Amino acid sequence: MKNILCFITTALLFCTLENSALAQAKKPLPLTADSLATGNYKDVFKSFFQVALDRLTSNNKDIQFTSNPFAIMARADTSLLIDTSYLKYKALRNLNFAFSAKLDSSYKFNGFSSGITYAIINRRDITVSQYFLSEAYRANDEFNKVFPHLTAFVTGITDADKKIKLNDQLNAFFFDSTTSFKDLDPDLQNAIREKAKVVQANHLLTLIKNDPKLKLAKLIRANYDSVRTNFQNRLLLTAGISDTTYKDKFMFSNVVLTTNLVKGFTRQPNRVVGLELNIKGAYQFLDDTLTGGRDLKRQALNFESGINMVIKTRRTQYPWAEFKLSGNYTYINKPYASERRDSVTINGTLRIRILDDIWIPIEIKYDPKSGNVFGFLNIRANLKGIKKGAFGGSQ
Amino acid sequence: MAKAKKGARRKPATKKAASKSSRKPASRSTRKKAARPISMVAELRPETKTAIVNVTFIAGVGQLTASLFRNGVLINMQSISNSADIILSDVLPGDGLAVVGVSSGKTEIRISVPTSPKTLDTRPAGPIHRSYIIL
Repeated sequence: MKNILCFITTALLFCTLENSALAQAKKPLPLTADSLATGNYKDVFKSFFQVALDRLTSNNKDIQFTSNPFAIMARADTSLLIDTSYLKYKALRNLNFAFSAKLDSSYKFNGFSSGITYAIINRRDITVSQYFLSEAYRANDEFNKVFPHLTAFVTGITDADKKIKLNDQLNAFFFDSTTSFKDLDPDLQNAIREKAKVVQANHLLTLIKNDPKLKLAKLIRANYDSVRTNFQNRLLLTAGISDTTYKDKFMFSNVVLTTNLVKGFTRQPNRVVGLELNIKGAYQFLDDTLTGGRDLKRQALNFESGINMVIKTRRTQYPWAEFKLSGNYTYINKPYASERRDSVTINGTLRIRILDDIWIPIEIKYDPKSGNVFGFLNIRANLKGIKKGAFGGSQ
Repeated sequence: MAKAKKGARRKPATKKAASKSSRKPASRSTRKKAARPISMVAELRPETKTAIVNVTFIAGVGQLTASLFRNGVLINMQSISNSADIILSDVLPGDGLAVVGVSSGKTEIRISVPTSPKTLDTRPAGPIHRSYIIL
């Protein structure tokens, strides 16, 4: 079993390394709403697929697969991704399901676990938000107004070759981040100045005046990205239920009701460090092993509240490391002799993004009363399973 | 004196002609002879064709406005807020189509007539600013 686990881990890492190397060879790092999401957010709610290897160093290891039904349907039929269909499946996209196999210290099967999570509020999903569209459109309002006037100017040119040439330059100026204002034909430069005056695009006029090497496409992209980054701070609230069976019988040994809230704080879009509030609540029904038979009479209440510090690159706002500091309170109605009824721990979770799709969270728990420190090593691979281009994130 | 009389006779005649032209439209024969003026509105000509602009937003919502220009004059403008066909009934070579919008997923633009740049044109998630010249 150990060998199988090692093989799966190696294969997974190899596949992701290969994909990432290919993607990097073709084009720069693809930045999508998904790639800008924090690791903590992806642990709370998955857009596509996640394979998790949890607690690798403990006696109770866990291999978990999480997905949502829409991701699986879209894998089979990519026409579902067309917006008219895409919007109809909002409920399915807000649903996550998970299966996991529990393993003991010698990597033997120790029970089966499954669960569902539903995003009751998901304001981070820009792919369905008309509000996001209007904000993103407004962010480039001046440029949106001046662009049709420039097409009108191009159509007024009688020389067919020049018309095509200036049209190509116009497209490059608005989309290609390497094309600067001074690279344009003088006629087009004058037209941009003139039409900017017509639509009262004063900001554009100032930019051109101050910097003749202005790369407008970069600015347009940055305006869009700042709106998108702000959306990553919005509220996510999920509720779920999960269960674990005994290893020898399909009967629940553990049922957990969970709720999870994530909300970002940082308003300025270009901050390197972002802060995120994360509150978790869980009510657990467990088998009381002191009594005969199998029941769920032992119950535990768990509450965790913490702040997740997200470290991003300044230019692309791409999260590459996170540190979450949280406090955890647990109440058990029937504690065993070695347990306390109430316990408080201070937890720290360091997440490092080793590849675009792979996060490694290292969890450390400290119990101030007993002085014990526990540590867990996990691996999270967030996979799309559908050709990257299908989601239109490359830029 | 005779000369003065002649001039006096001519003047009312010219005034009459001027007042006639301002009040009544020119006759059919006069219109045929005049040079054709550049039209400031869309008009169907024998050589015009219909162009269909197919816009598909993938894995996200989008909105877009397409504006058709001829010789610097706006002749058609249509907006969409989900995947749709924009039908431009009167398109001539040399016309320009400005496409401005935004999408949260990928956008595919297909134009049924030859254009520069050519389509299918796939745009990534983000702002859309694209200008096409009808060939």
